[in-house]
Amino acid sequence: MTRADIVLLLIAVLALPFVYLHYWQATTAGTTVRIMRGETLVKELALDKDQEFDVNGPLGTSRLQIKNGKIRFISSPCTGKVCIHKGWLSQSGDFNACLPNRISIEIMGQGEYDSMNY
Amino acid sequence: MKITLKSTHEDSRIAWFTALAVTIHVLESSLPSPIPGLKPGLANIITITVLCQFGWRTAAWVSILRVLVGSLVLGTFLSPTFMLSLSGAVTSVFILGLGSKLPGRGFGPLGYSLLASIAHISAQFSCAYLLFIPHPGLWRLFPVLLSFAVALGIINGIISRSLLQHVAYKTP
Repeated sequence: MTRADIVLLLIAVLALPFVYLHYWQATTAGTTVRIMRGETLVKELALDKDQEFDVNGPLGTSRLQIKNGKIRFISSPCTGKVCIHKGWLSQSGDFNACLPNRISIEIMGQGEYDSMNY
Repeated sequence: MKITLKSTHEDSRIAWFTALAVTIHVLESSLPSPIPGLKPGLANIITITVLCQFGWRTAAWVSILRVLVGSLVLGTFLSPTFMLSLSGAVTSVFILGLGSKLPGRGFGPLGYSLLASIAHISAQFSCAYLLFIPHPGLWRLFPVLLSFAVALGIINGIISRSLLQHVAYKTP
């Protein structure tokens, strides 16, 4: 082993924990939520105001709840109830949808990553 | 009219080593993998051994040809797998080129192998992110695969070093 080998080996092994810290840090909490019906934006709401509201889709009315900077579906006229079981969303980039009722919600925040671009 | 192609000694050397690397590449692709994207990269042992023995030019040929021929054999030519493979190979060849310019005694097989595996995984992640899955969540997998890359880079380097110790005496 040459000296360059040892230096590189040490750098690689010592840098690993920092790589974990950097890529596994908690994502930033979202600030607003964007509610869509199909392709159209219904409304964009701030997450810091607790409220319950209804959104109408082709199947009927879905009810959503915002509380403590988080949002969830509390009822939806779909059969699977996947949207309700997904639970609370709070992190920037998080996404949930009730596909039968064509309603989707996405948390927006710093960085403005768009989870729907693929 | 008769066309004659002159092949140099180096050409046949590249061909031999590429054949060896392709064989390993194809055999390795049949191994099951616990995590998507995780491969031992044993074919890189050949690249590193050739680099230490015959220099960067030969190693670059062997590495790039191995990806091309390997993908033709496996039927993944121009598929996403191939793009990832090629981006990794091109980047690690480039980084090895820079590494071999290091003054003094420079890197040994272990250093080269580690350098190549880190360059490989970083390039593949960037390529996957830019071309196929532009979602930041992809990078959550990066530390895990980087750890494996470092470990496998070291293991491959050790194999390459012992290979060189056994083979080097017999070549003129």
